[in-house]
Amino acid sequence: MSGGWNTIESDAGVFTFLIESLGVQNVQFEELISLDPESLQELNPIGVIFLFKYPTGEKAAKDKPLDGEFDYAALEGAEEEDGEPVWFAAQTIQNACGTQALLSVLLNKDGEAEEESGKITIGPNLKEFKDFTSAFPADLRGEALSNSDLIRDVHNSFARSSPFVSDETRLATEEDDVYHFIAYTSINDTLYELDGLQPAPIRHGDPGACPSEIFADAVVPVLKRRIQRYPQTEIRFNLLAMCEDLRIKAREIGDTALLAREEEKRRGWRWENALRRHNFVGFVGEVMKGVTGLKVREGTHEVWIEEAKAATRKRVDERRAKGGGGGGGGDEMDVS
Amino acid sequence: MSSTPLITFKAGKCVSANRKVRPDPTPGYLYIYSEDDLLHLCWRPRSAPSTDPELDLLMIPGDGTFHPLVKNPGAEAVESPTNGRIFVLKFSSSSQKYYFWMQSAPQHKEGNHAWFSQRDQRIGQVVDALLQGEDVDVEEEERAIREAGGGEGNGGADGDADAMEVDQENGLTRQGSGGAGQDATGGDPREEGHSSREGGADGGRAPQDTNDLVQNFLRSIQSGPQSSSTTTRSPQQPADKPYTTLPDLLTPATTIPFIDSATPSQVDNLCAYLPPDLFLLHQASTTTPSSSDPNPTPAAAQAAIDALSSDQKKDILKKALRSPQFTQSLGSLTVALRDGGLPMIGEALGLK
Repeated sequence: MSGGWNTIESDAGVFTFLIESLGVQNVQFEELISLDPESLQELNPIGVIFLFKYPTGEKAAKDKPLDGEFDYAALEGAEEEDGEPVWFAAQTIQNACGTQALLSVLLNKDGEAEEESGKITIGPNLKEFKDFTSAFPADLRGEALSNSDLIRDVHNSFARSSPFVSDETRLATEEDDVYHFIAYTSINDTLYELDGLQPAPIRHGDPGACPSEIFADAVVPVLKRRIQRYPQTEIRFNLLAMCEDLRIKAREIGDTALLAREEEKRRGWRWENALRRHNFVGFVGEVMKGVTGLKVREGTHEVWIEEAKAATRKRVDERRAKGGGGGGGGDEMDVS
Repeated sequence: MSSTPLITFKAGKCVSANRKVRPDPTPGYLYIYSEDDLLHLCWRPRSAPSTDPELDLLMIPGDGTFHPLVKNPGAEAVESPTNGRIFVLKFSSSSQKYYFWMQSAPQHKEGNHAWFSQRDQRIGQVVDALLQGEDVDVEEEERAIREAGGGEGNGGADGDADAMEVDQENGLTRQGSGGAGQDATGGDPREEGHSSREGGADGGRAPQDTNDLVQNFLRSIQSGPQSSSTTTRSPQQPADKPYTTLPDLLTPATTIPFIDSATPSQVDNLCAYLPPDLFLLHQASTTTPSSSDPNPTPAAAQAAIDALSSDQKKDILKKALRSPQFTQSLGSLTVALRDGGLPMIGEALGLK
């Protein structure tokens, strides 16, 4: 049971508009094509979202993570000089994990964007959610997230277009891959990995050793070590950097070319989201009628159906021969 | 729902008005489940989730009876005095009655829609036995029902498997007859039998009305290949091989030439079914589109569409037809059809 949360794609456009709809200002996502510190630094990232195919074989280590250290103390924020406690939630709903990863960065970066560097304006909705859950333990925060109508509704509005809500409906063209999202960010000048399936935030490196300015440099080797854990051929993963709206920088430095590119990118995102949220049933019906009418007039109606049948049969046979492997979503990344 | 239903079969509800009882055309399921030693007899429309029945009657074992409504009690042929097969639910504790009509394909050789076949009677008997509090091995009964065959001959369709369908609560695999079956059109019980004759005729006869064609095609997606020689579908077979899928039919190679050859009025008609934002975005002088959810007024949306030339509209249509979002929706629509959404889709497509 999905608990009412649908799957969303890990796409920079989807994530950007999703957080905007929640009230976050001036933050966008950018897909990373290569994992090198220089290009990441260019973006001045606030955090990084890492999506990977969740290996069901690998168990969540209970006492020690495979890399880094569990930092339970960070959840408490005991001492005043430790800074704010880390906002961390346990994941309760599989399909919500993308949004959860986003929130785990956003809610730790809440502040006055103009006055403090590295902070962002998260907006009243998320502020309220953060305050509401500030005293909760991690698992209760996760529950609160999965029960939040606002967040769930915004999340679902970016879900794949499905004309019918049915628990039994499965996309015939998809594999049943389980993807997992985790976030990396610098909090209290420390590099943290935030994974809702782990019992606590995972600290990489020493406390205080990672101010936001060097986040890009610090996170790349950690990501590389992570990626190397998986067999090179198998893994599909995706890396998205969260950063300030790039158009702001473009306007500030007067880079008209960059500004134009970013505007163009936004229009593309808007186009995709319009289609994503659209219920195509009516359109499909009209197209079917129109195409059928045309084929009948041309006398090619039966040939058309036969060719489609053959294509279906071929695909089913191929898939059966392959044993149903391969396929799935996510973009491959070049790590060189 | 806390437990899976003991038995489920396709049935419609009836509404009583003034001493007259009329069947409601909504396709639905009648099902029984047991919770805390109490039985629930439920009815829901097929489009509703299984946790949301419209009717949920708490039945004390022994209180309710479930029998066919027969016109000649005691006669050998069991048939209702109507044009459909009616069951009546009665209570010993009250005079209230509920009527339901069977929505599966009637199995009478000559198309007498009021006649209860062996299978139909057995379904009623299982329900009645459950209501009496008897321990019924429903799986055994269902197997027997399936093996009993169609009685007096079958209309060419897999009549047995489609009458009863045990809801899969976790929905991971669908076995057996993928859903509502051919006759999920609802409506007049009289029509139920027709579809089994027309449905498979896609390749066979000269197609006339495009609406009929599309409807036939949609129906045939549900029931699997009609023209193939193998008619039996074993429940073990995972996911019926679809006749074909919408993504295979509506490939860009097919849809793009269609758009190219479409008339301006066809183009305008199609544009009305796309999100207005696509046309707003196409405007040359767009103000900074920083908002993710512009929400244009209908007037603004129409103005945006009107401002474009027919060629520009065709470009937008073609771009949409090539988009991954469109292809995904074809895939999910195919699956939804296979799982039994025909009545809703038929309405949505304005085919009726």
